[in-house]
Amino acid sequence: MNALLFLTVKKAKNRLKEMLHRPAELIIGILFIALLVMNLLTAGQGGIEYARRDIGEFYAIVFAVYVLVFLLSAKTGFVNGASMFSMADVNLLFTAPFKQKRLLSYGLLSQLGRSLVIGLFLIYQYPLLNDTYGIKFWQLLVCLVGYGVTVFLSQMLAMLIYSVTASDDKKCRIGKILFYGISAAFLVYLGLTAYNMNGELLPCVVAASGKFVMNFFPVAGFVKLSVVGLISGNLLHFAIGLLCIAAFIALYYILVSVINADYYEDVLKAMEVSFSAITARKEGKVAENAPRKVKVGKIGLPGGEGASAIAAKHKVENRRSRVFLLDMTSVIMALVTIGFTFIMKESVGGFVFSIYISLFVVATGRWAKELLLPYVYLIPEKPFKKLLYMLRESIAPFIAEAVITFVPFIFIVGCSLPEVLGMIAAKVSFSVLFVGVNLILQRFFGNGGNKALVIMLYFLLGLLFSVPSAAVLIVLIPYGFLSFFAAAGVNMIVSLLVLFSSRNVLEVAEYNNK
Amino acid sequence: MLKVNDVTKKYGKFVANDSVSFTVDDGEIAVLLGPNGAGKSTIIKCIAGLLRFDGEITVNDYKNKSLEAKRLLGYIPEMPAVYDMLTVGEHLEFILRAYKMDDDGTANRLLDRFELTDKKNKLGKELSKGMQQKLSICCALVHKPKIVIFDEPMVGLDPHAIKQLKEIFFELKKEGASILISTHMLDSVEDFWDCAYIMQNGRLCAEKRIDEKDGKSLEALFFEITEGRTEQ
Repeated sequence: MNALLFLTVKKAKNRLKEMLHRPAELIIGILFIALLVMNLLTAGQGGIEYARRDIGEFYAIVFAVYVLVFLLSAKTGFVNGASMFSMADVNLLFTAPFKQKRLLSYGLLSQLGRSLVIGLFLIYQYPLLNDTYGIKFWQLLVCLVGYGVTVFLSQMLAMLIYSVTASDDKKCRIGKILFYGISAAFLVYLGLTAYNMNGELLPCVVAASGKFVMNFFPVAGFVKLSVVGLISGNLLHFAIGLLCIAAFIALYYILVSVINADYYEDVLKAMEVSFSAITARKEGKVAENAPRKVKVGKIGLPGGEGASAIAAKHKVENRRSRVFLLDMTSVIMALVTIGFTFIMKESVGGFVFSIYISLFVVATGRWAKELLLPYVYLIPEKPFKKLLYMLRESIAPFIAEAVITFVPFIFIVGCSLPEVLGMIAAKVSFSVLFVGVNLILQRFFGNGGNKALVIMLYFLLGLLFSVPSAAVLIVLIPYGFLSFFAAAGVNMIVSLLVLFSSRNVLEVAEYNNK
Repeated sequence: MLKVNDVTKKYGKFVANDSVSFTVDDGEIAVLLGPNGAGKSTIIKCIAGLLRFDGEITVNDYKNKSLEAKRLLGYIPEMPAVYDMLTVGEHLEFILRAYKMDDDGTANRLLDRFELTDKKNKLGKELSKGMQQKLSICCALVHKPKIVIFDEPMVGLDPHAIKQLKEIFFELKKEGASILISTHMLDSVEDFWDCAYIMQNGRLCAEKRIDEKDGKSLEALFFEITEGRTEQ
């Protein structure tokens, strides 16, 4: 058997064997498959006939997901490139007599496999998409393959960007201007086209995103053209999309061979960066998500004594990491919520949606990194006090995210100011609650434990602890803004109880460094 | 004084430390020896209050997880522990603030000794692994601990830093501190130990004091225990 195939098969086989030795993982695997099967079997079986929405909306959603994946993946090329190999691959495969292109293909294909596994979340949306847009299962599978191809090509591009720009700031600047400039040009085109249609915003945006020009958005547009072409039966579009992808790959290889003779070395460099981050994590350190060049700025801590020195230290660290009130994820989440509310034309629905998605992305913040170093355990202060100071830096970003999410509700759905303030308070309280849930899991699992199990428990506990405030919200909803404040109050009590029960997370490190 | 009394540490069914007991007196340097996987780092982490365990550990008669004990303890981990986004100087400032202490010049003296003064404004992430280890040592010593525990402290250090560290061991000893050094490198500790504890398979197998006149060298005793070999 071919050595690379042997390696791939063995790794997969051993992964399965290991799963059999870990009951928790096995249960999760079975549950995962059972849920998947149940999803597939129950879709469209409810006996209810739904009014189908415009299929163009679905195509627009597919396009938006691909664009997001492309932008997030490819832009990593300006920081550390993409790594699809492990250090064992580097040491064992790169020194073995394999052709570079074969190894690269092996790496890219392994990455494609991983991307498809991650993309399985799309399958869980099947019942919803089936009811809403009449999407069939094979069509969703095509979208999933498109997702994998987008990840694959975006990562290839990230590697190219890294190898061209890594050692030259000027090239890096030019690359960024090109990358963001092209992306912005398409966005402006979309906005102007939608504006000129003079109709309701949503149908106009959907129609504008379906314009043929938009299919030339790098990678995401090509893939979307093929996918939509295939699932809508337009084989010409499918073929044009495939041609664009083939042209992209051909251009990529030409650029690689013409521009950069040290491509292989750059891939290695990117891998070493990523490997040192992995090693650091294994050694109990979390690498900072820091800019390439850190501006040290003012030296010294802005005060703090005892436990409060931790909060002072976080201020300095955040300033240098350029972590400000709002990060990209918060902005995206706010925009998604605003978009959702705009479509639904309903403030409470928008609020619930915002809470729902924040459950998925609540930032773990600097406290998670703090748990991996010994100092926070050694500092002679009460654990609960240290915990509160450790979490302090998270509060301001929560407020900022809630403000940019809900203030636009005044204009979109005509919310009153007290209602918006209530929603802000409630959203912040939910964010604190979810951090508390994270802490509980840290308390029991630390950084160990089966990731899928921990994530599932996180969702279950998050939903469970949200029940009291949700009940209050439902009961008091006729009282308007008061219901949000009441829900916030209940949440804060639950959060404090949760945090208090997790206070001992700072007593011993082994809860966290398993 | 550091007292470790009947400490057992289990990870599931695996016993990492099995009824370990020893004492490090004031003004004494004890070394904890043993092959890889003997349980040295585990007991060190238990002493530092980082792990749960059965048994009792006291630091100057305070339970090791009490705030009083934490104030008296200095811990140098096996892997250097530094913050990427703090400068070298800010690390020491942070520790002094966290321990509610004023800087009496100790921070600068330590940086001088470990040749880190010119790196004072460098970020943690910009330091090499050796320099990070030096900074880790400075962080553990800047609050003037009375009990200092070192986990493989010399790994990754340059000869100058090793020399400085050995001098610091003697100075701490002179000041009456209790020092515990865990290592598997016998030759790195042969010239300054007062008491040696040899561990294997999670157990304390032997204890030897420097003034014992049994004719056996520490190395001979070590191999006798770990390999069942006697001195020729």
